Parts: sequence; C-alpha cells; structure tokens
Amino acid sequence: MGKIGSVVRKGLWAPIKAILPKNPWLRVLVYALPIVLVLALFGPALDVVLRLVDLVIRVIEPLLQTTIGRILLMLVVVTITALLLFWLLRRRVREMRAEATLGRHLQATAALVGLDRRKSRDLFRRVARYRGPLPDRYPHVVQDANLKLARQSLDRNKVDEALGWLARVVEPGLPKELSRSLLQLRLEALRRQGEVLPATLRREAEQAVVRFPEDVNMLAVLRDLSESEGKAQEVLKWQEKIAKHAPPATRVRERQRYVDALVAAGQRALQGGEVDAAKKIAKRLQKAEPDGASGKLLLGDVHRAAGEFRQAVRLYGSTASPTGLDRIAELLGENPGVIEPRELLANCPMQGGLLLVARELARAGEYQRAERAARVAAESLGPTPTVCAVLAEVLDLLGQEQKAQLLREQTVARLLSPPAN
Amino acid sequence: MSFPSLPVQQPEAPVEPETFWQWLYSMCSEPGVIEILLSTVIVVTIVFIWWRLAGLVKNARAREALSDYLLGVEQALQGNLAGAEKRLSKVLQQDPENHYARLLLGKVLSELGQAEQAHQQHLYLQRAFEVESGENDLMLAQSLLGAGLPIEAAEVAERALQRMPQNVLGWQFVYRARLQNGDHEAAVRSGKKLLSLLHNGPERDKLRQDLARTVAEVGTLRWLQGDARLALQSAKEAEGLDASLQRLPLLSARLQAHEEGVEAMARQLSMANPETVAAAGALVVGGKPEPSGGGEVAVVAQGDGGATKLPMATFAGLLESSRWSCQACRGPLERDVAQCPRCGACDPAVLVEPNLVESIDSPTEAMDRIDVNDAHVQRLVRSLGDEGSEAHGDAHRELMHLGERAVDELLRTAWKASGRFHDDAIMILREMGPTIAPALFRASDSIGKQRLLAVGSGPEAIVGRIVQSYDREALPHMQALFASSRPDHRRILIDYFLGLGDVVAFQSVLERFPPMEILHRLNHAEPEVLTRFLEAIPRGHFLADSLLLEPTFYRDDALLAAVRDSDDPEVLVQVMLARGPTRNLTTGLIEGVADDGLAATSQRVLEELGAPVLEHVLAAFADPDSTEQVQKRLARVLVRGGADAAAHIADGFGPEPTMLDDRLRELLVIIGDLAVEPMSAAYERSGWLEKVTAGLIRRLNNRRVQIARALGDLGTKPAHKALKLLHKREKDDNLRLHLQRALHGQGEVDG
Repeated sequence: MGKIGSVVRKGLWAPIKAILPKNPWLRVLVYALPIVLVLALFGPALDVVLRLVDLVIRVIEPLLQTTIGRILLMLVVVTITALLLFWLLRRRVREMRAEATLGRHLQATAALVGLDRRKSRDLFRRVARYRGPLPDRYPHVVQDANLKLARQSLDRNKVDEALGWLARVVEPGLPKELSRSLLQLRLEALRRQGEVLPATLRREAEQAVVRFPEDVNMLAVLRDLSESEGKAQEVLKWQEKIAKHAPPATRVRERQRYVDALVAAGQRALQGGEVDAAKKIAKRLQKAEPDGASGKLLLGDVHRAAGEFRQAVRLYGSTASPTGLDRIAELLGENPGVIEPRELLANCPMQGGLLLVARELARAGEYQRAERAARVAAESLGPTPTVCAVLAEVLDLLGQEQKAQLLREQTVARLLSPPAN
Repeated sequence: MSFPSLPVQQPEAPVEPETFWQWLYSMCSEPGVIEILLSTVIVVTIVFIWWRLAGLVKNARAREALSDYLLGVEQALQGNLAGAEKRLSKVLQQDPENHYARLLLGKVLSELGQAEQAHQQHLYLQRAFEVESGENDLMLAQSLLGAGLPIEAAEVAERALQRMPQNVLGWQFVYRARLQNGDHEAAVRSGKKLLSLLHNGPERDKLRQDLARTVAEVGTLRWLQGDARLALQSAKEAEGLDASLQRLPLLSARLQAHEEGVEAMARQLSMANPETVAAAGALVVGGKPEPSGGGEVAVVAQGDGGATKLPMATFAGLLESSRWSCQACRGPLERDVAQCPRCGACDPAVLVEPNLVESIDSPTEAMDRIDVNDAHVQRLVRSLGDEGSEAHGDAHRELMHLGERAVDELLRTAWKASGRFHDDAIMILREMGPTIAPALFRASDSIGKQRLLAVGSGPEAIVGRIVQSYDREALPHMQALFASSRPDHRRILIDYFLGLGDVVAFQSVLERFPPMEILHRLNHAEPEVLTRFLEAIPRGHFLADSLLLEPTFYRDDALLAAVRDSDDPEVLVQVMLARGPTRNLTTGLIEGVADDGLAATSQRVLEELGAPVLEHVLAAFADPDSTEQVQKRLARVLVRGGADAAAHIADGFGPEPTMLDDRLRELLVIIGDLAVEPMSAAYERSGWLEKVTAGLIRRLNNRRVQIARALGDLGTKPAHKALKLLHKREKDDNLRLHLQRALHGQGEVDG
C-alpha cells in the first residue's frame, strides 16, 4: 500500500500539484470546489447544511439586537479569524517569533555595548524567558542572554542571581565561545559566593583550565585559590601563566604582580631558611625581569642571610637602584665594618655610595677620612634631603653636633623656601 | 368679549447640564458606536504588535554575520581579545554599518594596545557615520589617551560627558587623563564631580584620599607661584578630604614658614623630638640617630602613629618616603613601575633623587680622593694642565684645600714642568702661604736626594722663588732654617730676608752669615727683590758703608733702580759714587738717563764721576739711536765735564765729515774757553800714520778742520789766539786756508 500510495503521489499528484496556483487561498478554493460540487449532488445533505446555516443565523440574530451581543459576536469572529490565520501561517509566525527574539537580543547587546546596562538587562531578561522556536541564524540566543545576565549580576555583585542565570544555561550544544564564558562566569560566581567547597572549586577550575589553558580569568581563580590555601609555588605558577597570557592592557600589571609574588616568595623562603629555594626564585626573578633590580636584590639578600656580606654588597650595588643603596645601608647598619670602604665603593659605584662610605668611616672612628668622604659626597650630590640627612648623621658621629643641627636646619629651610625665581 | 382662558404657562424646570460621563454613556449607548470603538482598539493593538515585531525582525534580518557578531561580543566580554578582534573585524567586513560591532572593536583594539587603530574606528563612527554617541566619544577619548594624547583625550571625554553628566566611568577617565597630563587643577574639578556621583563606600574613600593629594599638589603649585592665600585654601581643602595625607605636612610647613619665617620654622622643625611630637600627632623632622638602630635617622610622618625608620631616611616628616615618583601626576611610587597605578601613565617612574644612583666614573679615584693618597694628588696636579677647564679650577681648589699634602707633588711638577703648568704649580704653592714652608723644604730635600745627576738647577731654586714671595708672617716658619747647614737652605733663607725688604730683619742674616755668602745672594737676587731691599737701607747702615762697597757686588743697576723709591736716595747715590765708575754702574747710569725718573740722579752721578765716564757718555751721545732728549741730557753731562770732555770730543771727530760733527762742535762751543786748550792739543796731535810716513800723508783731515771751525765758532780771545798760533805753525796750505777762514770768521770751507 505504501508503495502504491507513493507511486500515486509521485505519478499522479505531482503534475496536479505543479499546476496548482501558488497562492494558498486560491489553492484552498481549488481544493474546496470539487467537494462543494459533490455536496450539491446530495440535496438532503444540502438541506442539512442550510438548516445549520439557519440555526447559526437564529443564534446570531438575537445577539445582533443588543450591544453586548454584537461585541461578543465581534470578539468571536476576531478570535476565530486569528486562530484560522495563525493555523494557516503557523510556520511564518514561528519564524517571526524567533527573529523577533533575535532582534530583541541584538537590541540588548547593543545596549550592553553602549553601556546602557539597565535597558540591556531588561531586554536580556525577556530573551531569557523566551521558550519558542529558536532562530536558525543564532540558535544560542537564550543561552547567550542567560550568560550576559549572569555577567551583569556579577558586575553588580549579585552572586546568587548570577548563579541562577548560569544554572539556566543548557550546556550541551553550546559553542566554544559561550562554553568558555559559562565556565569562566561559573568559576567566578562560585569563588565569590564562598560557600562552595574549595576542593570543588579547584576541580572545576582545573577542568576549565584544561579546556581553555590561556584564559586569564580562570587562571586568576586558580591563583587566588592557591593564595588562600597558602601554596606559594602554585601561586607563582599560575601568576606566571597569567602574566604570559594577559592582554596587553593588563600585561604590565600582571607581570609586576608576578615579580612581586616572586619577591614575596623569595623573602618567605629566606625567612624559612630555605636558601636554595630563594636562590631559585632569584633566578626566576632575573628571568622575569631581566632589567630590573629585584632579582639581584633577592640574591643579595640570600648572600646576606648566608653571611656573605661582600657578595651581598656587590649584588646590591650592581642594581644601581636606591633600593640597593638602602639595603647596603641596612646591611652596614647591622654589620658595621664588614667591608673596607674602598671595596664598598668599588662594589657600589654610585654617588650614593659615597654617603655610605662617609658613614662607615665615621662609625669606624676615622674622622678625617669620614669628613673628607662627606665633603666629596656633598660636592658630588648637592644638597638633597637624603644627602643632608646622612651627612648630618655623619657630623653627629664626628662629634660636630652643632654643624649637624645647622645642616638639618638648612635642609629644612631649603625645603620650606620658595624657589628663587 | 371674553377671551378664552389661556393655559397657564408653567415655568420651565431648570435643566441640569449633562456631565462628561453622561454624555459618554449616551454616546456609547448609540448603536454601533462601542463596536466601532472596540474594533478600532483591536485593530490598533494588532497593528502596533505587528509593527513592533516587524521592527525587531527587520533589525535582526538587517544584520549580516550575526553569529560572528554575537560571539565576538561574548569573546570581548570574556577577555578573549584576539578572538573578538578577529570576529568583529570579519563582521565589519560584511556589515560595515554595524556600529555596535565597530564600537566594541575599537574598545577591543584599545585593550590590545592598538590605540591608533582603535581611534580610527571611533573616528569612523563619529565622523563617517555621524553617530552621536557619548559612549563612542568616551572610547575615542580612551584611544587618544592610549595614543599618548591626554589633553585631547580629556577634552573629548568632557564634551561627551556634557551629554551624560552622571556617567561615573567617564568622570573617572577624565580625572585620570587630567592627572596624566599633570593638570592638577582640572583633575580636581573632575575629581569633585566624580566624588559627588559615588556612593559611600571604599571606592569613594579611596577617591577622597587621592583627591586630597591632587588638591595638595594644586596648593604646592600655588605656593610655588607665590600665591600663599590660595595655597592655604588648597591645604585646608586637602586636609578636609584626607588629613593623613603625606603630602600635606610639607605644604602646611611651607605655609607656616611663610607666616612665621623660614628660619624660625626650620629651627622649630629640626629641634623637635620625633618621639614626643609624634605622639602629639604633629609634624616632625627627626634628627638624632637612634641609639639602638645603628644610627638611622628617625623620621616621623604626621598621622602615621609612630616613627618610620628608614635605613637612609630623608626628612620623611616633610617628604614622602618613596624614592620614585610619577613624572606625570607626581604621585609617589614604590618602585620603578611600568604603569602608574594612579594616573595610568606608562613608564612614569622617575627618581626623586636621581643623583644618588648616578654612577661614579672611577670608584678608585673617588676613594683616592677620600684617602688623599699620592695617586689622588698626582691626578689633581695633572689636572692643572687642562687649562681653562672645569677640572683645572676644581684641582686648584682641591690642592689648596690639601695644603701640605700636595706640596711634594706640586714642587716636583714646578721643578720638572715648564710654561703655564710650571707657573700654575708655583702659583698654588705661593697661595698656600708660609705655613707650608717646612713641608716645602722637606719636599725639596726629598726631591734633591732622588736626583741621580745634579745637572741644571734643582728644586731649591723653585723653593727660593716661592719663599721670597712670603711676607713677615712666614718669619716663625723660617727660624728653623738658621740651624740648617745645607747651602740651599741658607740661600733660600737669605733670599727670603731679601724678599722681605726689611733691613732690620736682615740684621739677623748679617749676624749669622759671612759677607761673601750674602754678597753672593745679593748678586743672584731678582732685580725687583733686590731693588726693594736696597730701597730700605738707611743712612749709615753697615750695608751702605761696607757691604755694598765691596767690588764683588755687581748689582750697580739695582742700586740705581732703588734710588727712585728709596727712603733715603742720597745713601744709594753715595754708595754709587764710592764704588766709582764701574762698568756696570756707568752702563746703568747712561741707561738711566733715558728714564725720566732716574735721569736726574744718573746725570748727577755721571757728572760727579767725572772724566772716567765721559768717554762712555760721549759714546752714548754719539749713538744715532739715542733720542733727542737723551742726547740733550748727555750733552749736559759732557758740557759739565769741561776740558776733559772737550778733549774726548775733539778726538771724537772722524776722518770724514758727518752730521755728528756739527753737534760735537756745538758742544765744544758751549764748553767755551775750557775747550780751547784740549782742542789745540788735539789739532797738534798727529795720528800714528802721519808719524810713520814722516810727512808723506797729508795733514789735512776732518778732525783738524772741525777743530779749526769750532775755534772759529767759539770766537773768544783765547780761541782767536789759539787759531793764530795754529795758523802760524801750520805748513799745510789747505789747513792754513781753513784756519785763516776761521780767524776771519768766513764760515764754511769746501773740502
């Protein structure tokens, strides 16, 4: 039967279908015409039809006499017509709904891009509520709206609401871009919410990073987790990746943070007596910041902790930085006389080094040399606040309190005086 | 007639006016009205819904590459900037009028650090598509800031904010852009606006603190411009915003100093005890080293609640402890950051005291300078060779400062070098004064011992020159030399006393040194030194009566030179006369005739020396290079010489007539009758050739002719008599003719 029917459809019905008019109304008329003709052949049947028409007229007629009746009649007609039209144009209506939703999503996106957050939120909410047919051109419209709403909720620090929107996202079938956003937002929401167990959050984050190893936000979650758990090495590992993959606008900041983390880790290692670990971190620092002073300073700290003061001074001095000078000053303050002034200056060939030499000599009681060093420093450096402060101290050590006091006064007076011109 | 009674007309009951609701009800009660109205509402509703839906659909259908667009937006939001840029660029290729995609692409490009391309996108929107969007303008401003144009960025953003004045992000951007531009006043304006828009919370507190710093910066600027009133206003405003601001104490102190005086304020601040005043919350500049802190300078900042110890602390009560600051916003930085956390400027860090880390050219040299070792002194002395350079001046000052320590090297240089280098070394040694005298002698001895071959003059000569320049203050330093047996020391000592020009002080030399040694030094003394010394000799002094009369004293020139400024010139004149016409004296006197100051003395001495010097005077008179004035003065000496002078003059006529003959004749005439006899004798005297040839040579010569003429010119009785006598004895016809003419006063005679 099936085959016969198929043959009939393809062999007989197809030519008829081909010659039928394209207009659906006309086509309905063509379909109805033979049926009416057949019915006309049967009088009784026609009578029944006429009686039915008469019955309808009898029902309608009283209604037409009153206002309420007429209103009801009109509403019925409109409803029936609408239903009929809907039935007849149901495919087009579906398409139109989908397109309209897409249009609304676009409007919401435009508002989002245009920084009109309230409008975009309202529109996205309407899109998110949509349960009709999905547009072919972008079937992920509802999921996208959910994600955007979740992001906005997070921006407004409404974490639970964000989690609610994220929970509505249907994950299977999502494109990679939206999946990434989903994971990213979910990690962020869970992290901020704080009630989820760290292990769960870590597992989620690690899985997310496996899928998207260059996503800075996901890496940041892992870094923060490690930080809160006190895992310094892991923090460094994640921060290094973040610094590597961060966009240019934030790369500088992230790299700086990485360097800071390395410095902090190095100091912690030193405090914990892990000299080898600190050395390794110092090498990493030098690699991360080849032109910076941090690596050498940390390495200097390592040598200082190991009692290798000369090496420490050499490394501090090679940074040619004020921090290096400060560290040398600290070192000499704690261990006076550990290095000969000549060696000190050779290892710290900066103008500020002259101040250190002057102070060392003054502390060692070599007053004449100290005085000369102070004079040389003052001539080279000029009357800057640091110079005056250190020289005043040197003068104090030399027993020239009056001069020291005078120098302080002069320095403060210079700071308080308006410029000559 | 009766009229039918008319029905009584009842007065009309007053008709109440129909209300709106009654009118509406009656109208709606009309058949068909309400149905039409309802139909209209339904139709309008359907049309409206259709219109909205059609609009949405049209909007959706108008977009090409829609999936790329929406996914691109999501990528941009999730931070996948590279992916977003790729997708959005693709969208714009297919749908160039997708303004939101373009707007977002601009933002993405900006975050990717491609500010120029971002600016291009925003500019397209603004100009090409004429999109009037505050957001676009803000992003345009951001791209301008990213491209390093903070002024333009701030202006564009401010224009955009006129359309959306409540935009917090916009005002934040303007505040940062103004800070980055260093325009703190404009930053304060935008900051205040921003502060009014923010709700209470950490962000607002942070902004308050930052704004306080900016206001303090404005105050400092006004203070620098000399407007203390506005500066004070800013300081108060900053204090109101954040009283714990580190920038504030310095500004407050400056303003207070403006009121009370800088010195008083500086004293007050530097005298304060950090510990006690910190507790009171006041401004302190610490001074005393901490007893236990290894000598750090303790510094306390107001509001810190305690002392902040820094290893090499500055006056942190006034200054911030940071060693770096942002060159754009002048905010303090903890380190050499790549981006200012306050204003966002790139590579903003500048050192507050950059000279601290400036490298030293040579640490060894610097240390040598501190140690003041030989290498340092040698370097300094070498620097003297760089004439006119800054190093030369520095070296000069430093050497002066070193004093005795530099003497050895300077003396060595002065001895070995030549020219300006040599002179500079001597000049510095002289400037060092007599206190270095012992060191100078030690150095001289040391160098002398190191000489292998004593060829040429040694360093003693240099020492002598230097010591001679010392005044009486050096006397205490010279006493030790009297005990020295070294000849060079003795020489230097005598030279010093000569240089003093003090005859009384010289007495000690006369008492301790043999006259020959003193005379030797007198003969070798520099002319100026000796002259000055001789000027001071009083009448009857041993020097005048004895020492200077010694024939081994050769400095007659100095005697004459000293006459001019001598306390008692007659003493020196007498010495000269007593010494007699020595060659040196005669030469000096003749030269002195040319000197207006010495001419009178020279003439007098020459005259008094008499015959022995007349021949020299005549020679000088005959010198064609002599000036007329000198010749006149010498002529006077010759005239005063009388017969002796006449004899020399008469012998002075040459074999042939010259211009000099006339002047000599004039002299003879002026001498007068005293010259007659010498002239006659000179006329009679025959030359050796005449004697040898025994009359073969003619007697006629210029000398006899000139004498005859001079006698003729003289015209006195003795002259006439001499002429007659000569004429009587003369056998030569020509001479007889000349004599005859002279006798008869006929003047010139041809050859």
